[in-house]
Amino acid sequence: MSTINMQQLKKSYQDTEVIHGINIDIEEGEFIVLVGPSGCGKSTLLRMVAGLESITSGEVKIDDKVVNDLEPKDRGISMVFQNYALYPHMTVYDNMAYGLKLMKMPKDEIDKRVQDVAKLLQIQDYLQRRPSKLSGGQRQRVAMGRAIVRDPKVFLFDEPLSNLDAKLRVQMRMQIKTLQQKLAVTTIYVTHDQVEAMTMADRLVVLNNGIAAQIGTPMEIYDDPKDQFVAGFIGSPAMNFLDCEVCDESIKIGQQSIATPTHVTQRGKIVLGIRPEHFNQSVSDLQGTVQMIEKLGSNVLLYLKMENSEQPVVIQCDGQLDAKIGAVYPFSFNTEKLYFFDTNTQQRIY
Amino acid sequence: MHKRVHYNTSYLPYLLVAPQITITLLFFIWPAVQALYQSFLLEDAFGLSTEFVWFDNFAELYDSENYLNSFTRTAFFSVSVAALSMGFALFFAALADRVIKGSHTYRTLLIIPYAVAPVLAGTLWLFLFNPTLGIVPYFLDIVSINWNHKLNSGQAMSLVIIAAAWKQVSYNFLFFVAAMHSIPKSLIEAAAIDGAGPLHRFRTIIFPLISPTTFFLLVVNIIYAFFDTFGIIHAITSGGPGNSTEILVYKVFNDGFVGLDLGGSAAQSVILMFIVILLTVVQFKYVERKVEY
Repeated sequence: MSTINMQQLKKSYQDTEVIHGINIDIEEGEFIVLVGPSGCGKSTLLRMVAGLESITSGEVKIDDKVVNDLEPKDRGISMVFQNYALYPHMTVYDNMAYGLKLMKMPKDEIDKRVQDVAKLLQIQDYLQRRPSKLSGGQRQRVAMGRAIVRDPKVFLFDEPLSNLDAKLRVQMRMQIKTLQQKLAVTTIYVTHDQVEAMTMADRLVVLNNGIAAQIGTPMEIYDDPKDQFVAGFIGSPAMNFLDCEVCDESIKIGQQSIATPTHVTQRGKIVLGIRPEHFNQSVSDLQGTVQMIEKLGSNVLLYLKMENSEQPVVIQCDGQLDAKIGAVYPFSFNTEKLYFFDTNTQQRIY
Repeated sequence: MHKRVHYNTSYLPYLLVAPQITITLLFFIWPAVQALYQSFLLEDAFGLSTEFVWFDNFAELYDSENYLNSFTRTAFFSVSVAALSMGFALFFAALADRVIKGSHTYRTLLIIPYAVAPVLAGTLWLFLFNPTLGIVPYFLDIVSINWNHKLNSGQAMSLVIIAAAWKQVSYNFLFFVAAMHSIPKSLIEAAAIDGAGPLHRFRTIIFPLISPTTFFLLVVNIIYAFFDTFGIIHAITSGGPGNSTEILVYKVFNDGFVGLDLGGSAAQSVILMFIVILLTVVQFKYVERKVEY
């Protein structure tokens, strides 16, 4: 159990700065997920904590001790890689025992630890096999086993589930989460999958272009996004954004309009955000033409085109809904759940 | 229904493979057959008459102490050349793998020796080690080592081994670098996190993973030392002093074109031919067995 602190962490390659000063304080036993689109710097950040990338400026502390200049092996971390990075020429047993042997641990102690972890992950039967003889899920578990067996202060996961098929991914997601709770080891987990991020994290760090756009619990971020990027990235299907103009009486969206909520005091052009699950179908002050229908079984996604608006509006409806492409569909917003963003700064205003 | 593409002209495929077949027949098969035929012949010293003697030439080789000595000498020579050149190549490749700045220049420089012709390589080393003119004997003299490979057979052998190995280092280097590049970087990083230092990583991760390449290079290097070192030996020692650097392929030349024992020389080259066939079979059989990633 350890704390991790990152202070004004920056990373540059030659003259290009890719991480622009990140501050995160992680508590003991916390499960932190770094999430963001490709190229946002999340893996780089993780690798800086691991010691695989140098730190340009700022500090990383593990248990209040600055680890900037420590070798990866001296930081007390374990890492699970995206491609698992299992040693192909060693058996599962030797893969797990490799690090322990380097710690000069007695043989029977190594054996005990490997057996215990193998039991925990249910890989006892494969201990004498080579990684190439294992399935993707089994390899994943071996990679986890190799991380756990070292009894680290911190777990680092670098998109560990992205090579698995969808069903297995959901299973492993649960396993990792339960395992982490059981072991109570402080964890940093990198993913680009926002569902993974929402379901696993104690706290989320949403990264955008090397900046921590928002840090908070999944529900905080879902309910109260700080800016348009976070609002659009977290939540599935993604939030709708509509350009509109706020007047005294009404908000104009193209030719149509809704009443201006009382707390919206700014006038002029503004971006309105509304999640697909926050539409009201009993009332109807707006309408759009059905462009596309996605049937997901439990619910239906309607893609509506509003006149004079480029972006289609996505509405999540009941699974039984019967709609036809080209039909005009009336709807209205759940006005409690409207978000407003500044057109230029993209910061959330209301 | 014909599923394959059909050409009306039936001579086209033959025409297309003809150049390759012609070259193979003319420059490989025909000389090989000639050598095989000649190895059964005994020619008199003036080249006026030949006699078909069946396996007499081979039997004579079997009884010749000189030839058997050449065999052990060749074995020693090729193992030394392979070990030396692969050892250095591996060392350089391991270093090149860690070089970040100027790695391109570094690699290009290391590849240059491969472009030097064997005779030139031999001459280069000959000048360096020339007992009267060379710079190396001059320095060796300072530490009281008297270098004269024209008289000292041990020194002569070392010199041809060094020269032959030097030329092969670049070739091996290229293959080692490529093999190391194909190891996923995360494996090395995982080992670093597990606490392995650079040397330990090399020994327990990198070296086992490039073993297929190492095996391939071993066979290639032995074949190289067996056959392609003629130019180097010819330029440096001409097989001397005595017969101390006369390896098999040099003996074929010496006996055949200097000693004019054409039948015996042909028999030797037939034996060499079988050796290289054997080595190639070994290579094809085992090189395919790769380490599974």
